[in-house]
Amino acid sequence: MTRYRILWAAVLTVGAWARGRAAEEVEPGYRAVLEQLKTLSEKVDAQEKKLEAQDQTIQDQNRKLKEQDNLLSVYKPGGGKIAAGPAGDVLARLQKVEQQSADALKAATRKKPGDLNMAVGASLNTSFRSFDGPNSKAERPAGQDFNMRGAELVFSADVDTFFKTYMVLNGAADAASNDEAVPTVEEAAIYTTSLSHVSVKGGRFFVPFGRLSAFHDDALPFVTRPRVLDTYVGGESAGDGVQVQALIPIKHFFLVTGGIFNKVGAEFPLLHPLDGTDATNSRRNGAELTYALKMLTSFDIGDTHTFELGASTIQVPDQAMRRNLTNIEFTYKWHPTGSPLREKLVWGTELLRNEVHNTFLRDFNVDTDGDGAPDTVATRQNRRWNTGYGGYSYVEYFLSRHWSLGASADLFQPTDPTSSRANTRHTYDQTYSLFTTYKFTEFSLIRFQGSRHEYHDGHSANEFFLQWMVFWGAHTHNFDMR
Amino acid sequence: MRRFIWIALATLLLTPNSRFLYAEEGKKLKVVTTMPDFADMAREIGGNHVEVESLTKGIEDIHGVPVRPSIVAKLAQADVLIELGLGAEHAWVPALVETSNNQKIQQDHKGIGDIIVSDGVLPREVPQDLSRKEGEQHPQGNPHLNVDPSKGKAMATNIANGLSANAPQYAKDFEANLAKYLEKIAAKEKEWQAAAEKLKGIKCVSYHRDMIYLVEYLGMTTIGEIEPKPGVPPSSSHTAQLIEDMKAQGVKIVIREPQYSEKLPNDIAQKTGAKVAKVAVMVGGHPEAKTWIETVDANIQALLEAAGVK
Repeated sequence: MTRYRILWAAVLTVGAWARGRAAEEVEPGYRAVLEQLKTLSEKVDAQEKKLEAQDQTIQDQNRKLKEQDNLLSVYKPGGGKIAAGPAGDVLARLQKVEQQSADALKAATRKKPGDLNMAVGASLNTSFRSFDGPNSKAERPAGQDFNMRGAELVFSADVDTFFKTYMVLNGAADAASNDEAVPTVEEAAIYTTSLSHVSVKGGRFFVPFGRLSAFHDDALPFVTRPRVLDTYVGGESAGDGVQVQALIPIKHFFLVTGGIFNKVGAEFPLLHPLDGTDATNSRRNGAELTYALKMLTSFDIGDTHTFELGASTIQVPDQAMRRNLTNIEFTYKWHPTGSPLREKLVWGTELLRNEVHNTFLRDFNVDTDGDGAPDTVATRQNRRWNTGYGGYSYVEYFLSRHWSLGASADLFQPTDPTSSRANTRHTYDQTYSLFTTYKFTEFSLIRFQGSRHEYHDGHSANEFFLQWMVFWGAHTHNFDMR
Repeated sequence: MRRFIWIALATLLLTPNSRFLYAEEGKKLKVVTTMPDFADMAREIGGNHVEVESLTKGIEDIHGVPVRPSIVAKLAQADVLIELGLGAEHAWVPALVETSNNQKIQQDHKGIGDIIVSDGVLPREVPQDLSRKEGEQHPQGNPHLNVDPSKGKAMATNIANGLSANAPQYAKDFEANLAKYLEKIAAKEKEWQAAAEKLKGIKCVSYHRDMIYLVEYLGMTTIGEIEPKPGVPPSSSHTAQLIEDMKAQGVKIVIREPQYSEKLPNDIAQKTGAKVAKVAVMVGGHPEAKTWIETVDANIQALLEAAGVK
């Protein structure tokens, strides 16, 4: 046992010695390794810091991207506020540029000729005419001649927020003026644009009476206006005055127009004053003004058939020069939807009753100023009245966009009480016409018309027209001339 | 004749006030459109908040729709009028809108109820020189952009913005419906672009110059029209020259718009070996296509069939 103890102590002694020797030999390498480890650890620390910094940068970038995504998701060209910040600034600039370009584009694409300056249009209506009847039966002498039926200038513009205006100047040549065309103001009016469902118009314009009376010559479906309208209305229903038009706000079309005018009809004479002096120097009283009222409605049957029904009246209440003109009108239009040939048919009819009272002037040659010479004095005597009925009907069939064929008939009882044929209530002036039109485009056409006139006194005449018309500049027809 | 004045005044005064009527019926926005395309879009976007009516059926000539008084009554009752713009409807809409005296849709006074779907869209073929010698020109550019598949988004967005301006209380619904509709268009655009790959480079002619937007979208080329100039009827000399040009350039397709006679396009196709493709300029031109998207589909299918690349 002692021997083992001695042996164990020797082993421990040798071990301790050996260990001390080994430590002395290994220590330099060990320290080098430790140094390397330390360096590596520092490098790792640095890398970790860099990674943290990069991570922070990535987080920042992600946040910014998210911010931009949010902005883009709510961004709308021309609308919405953009948040402050670099991305917001860019988007705000983009929004501004887009808005500016959209505004410029909108201005460019919505600009119309009449927006700031007045729109100007013109038309030329010329014809060759052959007439074999008596001179007294026509506006121009019998024979053959060329006739500038109208050279028309139309100006229109917005006046301001509340009104629009337009003016139609027309020069027509007639034989009485040696074919000199004298321009006249055919229409010059202003009308409201800011009243809901009501329009007020004032100036010189077509009085609301009948249908074709309110058409300019160049908008008629034939060369000459039906003679019943020339005789009863006085040609185009022009008048100086005011009117109110109301579209009744129901689902059905119902248009009511009423107005007061000096007179109606380009050819209708001025009223004779009570004292017999020149009518042009006198003022009218209220009863001598002309009152007009028109009602118009319309019905569609499917998309193809349209019926229009209207009634109108013109009244001059004055007993000395009473005028009572009434009409009913009926228009049928067939316009097959989608017809590749653009076929169309229009059948228009008006029936009129014209009642005219007049007190005529009788001249007396008496010396009224005491100079010994007879003077002409007019006094009101020989009151006459006359009532007549008349009407016209026409049908026009459009074979295509370019060709149309038509026929018309009009007849009326003469009602001019100043005429020697005053009492002609049971006789009629009659006109029957055939006409064909070729429209090269919407802006030029040529038309041929042949008419046969049968007059109430037994005379008759034939009349032929070759008409050509052109339009240029701004050219639109209003609703009345549809 | 005072009685006539009294009758007129009484008629006006006893007439129910229009604003009162609108207040009574104001639950839904009354929308009138000049073309069925916009009626379809307005229904998609407006949903239950709108009552929509188109003034045309889709087979008319948009430049020459018959002027019916009944249209005036519809316009007078409308809260909103949606039109193509660029002068497409100049021959009939302005006079009718003016007669309606409806301030909401007055074009000249920029009523908010007057929605122009072409607003903000860059028009093609804006004439540098205005002259009627060049036919019936559109001073503001070719207006027939509704046939362009790529313009659907812009048209729908304009309609949505316009409806929102007129009925702000429903704006969120309009925006949501617009988003859904734009998704529909986006999904369809992939098909249309695939078709365009097949039609790319194919030459065609049309009757009227109303196909430029569609033809460009599809990468096709148009070498002319059967009309010598817009609105000018075909002449025999022009037709003969067109046939020669078609033969020389290998034109495969004659586009016939439904509002034009099929006789002349058929004759020209027969003489040149081309095929006739019926392409609608509005919804309704293909009876089976009830929506704008379906109409674009039908138009492209017609072209694919005519080109023989379906």
